[in-house]
Amino acid sequence: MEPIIQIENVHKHFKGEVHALRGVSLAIGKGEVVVIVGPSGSGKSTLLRCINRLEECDSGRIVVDNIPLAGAENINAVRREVGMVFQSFNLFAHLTALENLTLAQRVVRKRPPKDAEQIAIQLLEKVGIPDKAHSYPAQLSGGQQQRVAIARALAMNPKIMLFDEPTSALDPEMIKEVLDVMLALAKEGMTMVVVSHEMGFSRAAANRVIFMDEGVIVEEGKPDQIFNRPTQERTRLFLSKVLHH
Amino acid sequence: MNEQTSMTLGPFTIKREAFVVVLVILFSLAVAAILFTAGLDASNPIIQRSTTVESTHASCDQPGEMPCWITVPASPYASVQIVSALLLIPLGLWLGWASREGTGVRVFLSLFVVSLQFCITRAVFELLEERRLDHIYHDVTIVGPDNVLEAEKVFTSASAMAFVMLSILALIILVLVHLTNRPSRTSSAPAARLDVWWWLLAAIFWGVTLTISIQPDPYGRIMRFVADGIIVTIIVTFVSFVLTLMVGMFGGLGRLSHNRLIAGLTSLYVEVIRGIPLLVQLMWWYFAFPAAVQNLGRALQIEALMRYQANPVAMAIIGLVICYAAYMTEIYRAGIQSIPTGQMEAARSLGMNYFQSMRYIILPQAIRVILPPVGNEFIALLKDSSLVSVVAVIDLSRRGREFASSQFIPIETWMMVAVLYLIMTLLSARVVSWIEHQTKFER
Ligand SMILES: Nc1ncnc2c1ncn2[C@@H]1O[C@H](COP(=O)(O)OP(=O)(O)OP(=O)(O)O)[C@@H](O)[C@H]1O
Ligand SMILES: [Mg+2]
Repeated sequence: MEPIIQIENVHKHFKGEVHALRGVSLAIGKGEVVVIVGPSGSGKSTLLRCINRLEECDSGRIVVDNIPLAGAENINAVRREVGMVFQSFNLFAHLTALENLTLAQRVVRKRPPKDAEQIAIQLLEKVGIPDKAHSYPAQLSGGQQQRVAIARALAMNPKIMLFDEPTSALDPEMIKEVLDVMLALAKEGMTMVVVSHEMGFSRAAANRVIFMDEGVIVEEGKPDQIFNRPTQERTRLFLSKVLHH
Repeated sequence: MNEQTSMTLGPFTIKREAFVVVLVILFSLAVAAILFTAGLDASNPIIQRSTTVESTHASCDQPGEMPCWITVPASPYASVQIVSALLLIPLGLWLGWASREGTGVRVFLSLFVVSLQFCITRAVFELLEERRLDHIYHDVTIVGPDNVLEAEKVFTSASAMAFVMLSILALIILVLVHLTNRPSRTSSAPAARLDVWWWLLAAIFWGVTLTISIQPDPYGRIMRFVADGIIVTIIVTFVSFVLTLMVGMFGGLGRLSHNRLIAGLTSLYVEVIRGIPLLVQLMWWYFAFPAAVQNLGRALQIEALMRYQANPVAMAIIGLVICYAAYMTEIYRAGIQSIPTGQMEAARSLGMNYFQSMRYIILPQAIRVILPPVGNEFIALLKDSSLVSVVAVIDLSRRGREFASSQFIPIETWMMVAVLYLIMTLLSARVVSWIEHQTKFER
């Protein structure tokens, strides 16, 4: 499998004090679904945000879809190929669901408004809320908002999707509707990097699970192996504390 | 629309509060019209002239001719007034009777539409008459001053002014009331209610109307004299405000810039400008700046710079913009900072660049946050624009001062000027709150 994301020995400091990433190396193949788990503050979000350069890494090399992130001039080209879904949805509060989906298509992809709208409607159908096209984010439930957010990222036809704890701000009954959308996406062969502690999703969709702690990758392997037969003590400790089977 | 707070007016459905405001305004017009026709018409040159013309041409006393009372009036004013009244009375009656209100309201409605028509027609004719008198007066001055004509002209000017103002304000308020009643597009909240301040505006408007109509001398004359000052005040305020909005936006973005130099310079600008009184800044721009340019020209031997003369209006606008943009910078900064960082991150992660994110995501949301303080700034700017009168700009205050000192009637003049400012600020406040309501959205 050829790697679409290559991360080599990446370090990241915040304000010179917090050493959030301490030499992370990772290669993610096309169509692979990678789930990252780890305790709070272990650098999972930071790693994800480095991939589309919402954070800039201090040293090391990140190549996405054969574009090195070092040059600032192609950063928007990379971001067009990488969709991101946030824990807190971050839908544009002043736009309807439909407008949330069409805006970037029009101003970044330069699609004619008609086409953008058509794509948006198809995607809203795909995530199961075509009837909410004209609602504002504040009028949607958390699960609906997160599905709009996924559709918004998909509208740009990304090659890679990043999810940063997409379900952890949701009530239990809404988690499933979001995970179902993500599962369907994984089945279609989307390359996905997911920070999530949802075991069910990992078992069903992940090709690989990565355990991070204190800014380093401690252990990686098949979901079954990581969850049931972890080799590292730190992994075992974390799993016993956090994941309830 | 809710049945309790709205009513039908002929083909229109309007809010009850809006209706009451219109009623008050139209009522004042009606009173003015009645006062004019009843008390003052005897001394009005138009009426006098048309009667003289009538009596010479329509020979009533000759037997066999038409009786006097069906003689077509000779003055075009009277005929136009009658024809337009004939057209508008049915409209007024129709609007009145078609509404589902009580009989009293229907009668009033009919009368008010007619009185509005009366005012507009009258205004047009007084203006025409004034222009005609201008010509005569001009010719007469060649021979020698004519006190009668002069007095006549003053009177005509004053009443023309009153009627023009009434007509314009009535129309503006009607349009505003109509707009206020449209439900907001983005918000599911009910349409803006007309708050009590509309009443104050209506009351003051009513008072001014009456004052000018009853006493064209001196109030109509004051009004006439300061009218061009009002226009200057409005122009200076609007131009400065639009420029302030733009400069302030760049200032706000500058203060939030990650570039230390840009952020530092904008902060310095804000701190320095906010520490100097506006009046001193205006003086600096009008007196010191041109002198500085001239000195520079002399030092460099550049002829054009040596002969540089400041344009008062331009310098006043520069001074106002530079001062107010400093405050506006802080408003923009606070507004932009109030938008959660996630909005920017989401926009950037979709591939938008910084300016696209600002343009499509951050500013549209920030604008809703900053609207109330920006509205306040507008009103403050409107009032502070009176300071430009000290740097040779002929604005409302300046005109007031000129009139008061040449005519020795300070009480009436300054009352009038104060009330004119008040009308402008109250109206602005209403418009601001209307816009605020229109742009509200749910978070
Ligand atoms: N903008 C920032 N400024 C300063 N420190 C930061 C910033 N973002 C993250 N950090 C620090 O970097 C470390 C890694 O943070 P990160 O958000 O990547 O953790 P995480 O694994 O995503 O944790 P969580 O599960 O709580 O989301 C933490 O110690 C955090 O305090
Ligand atoms: Mg995180």
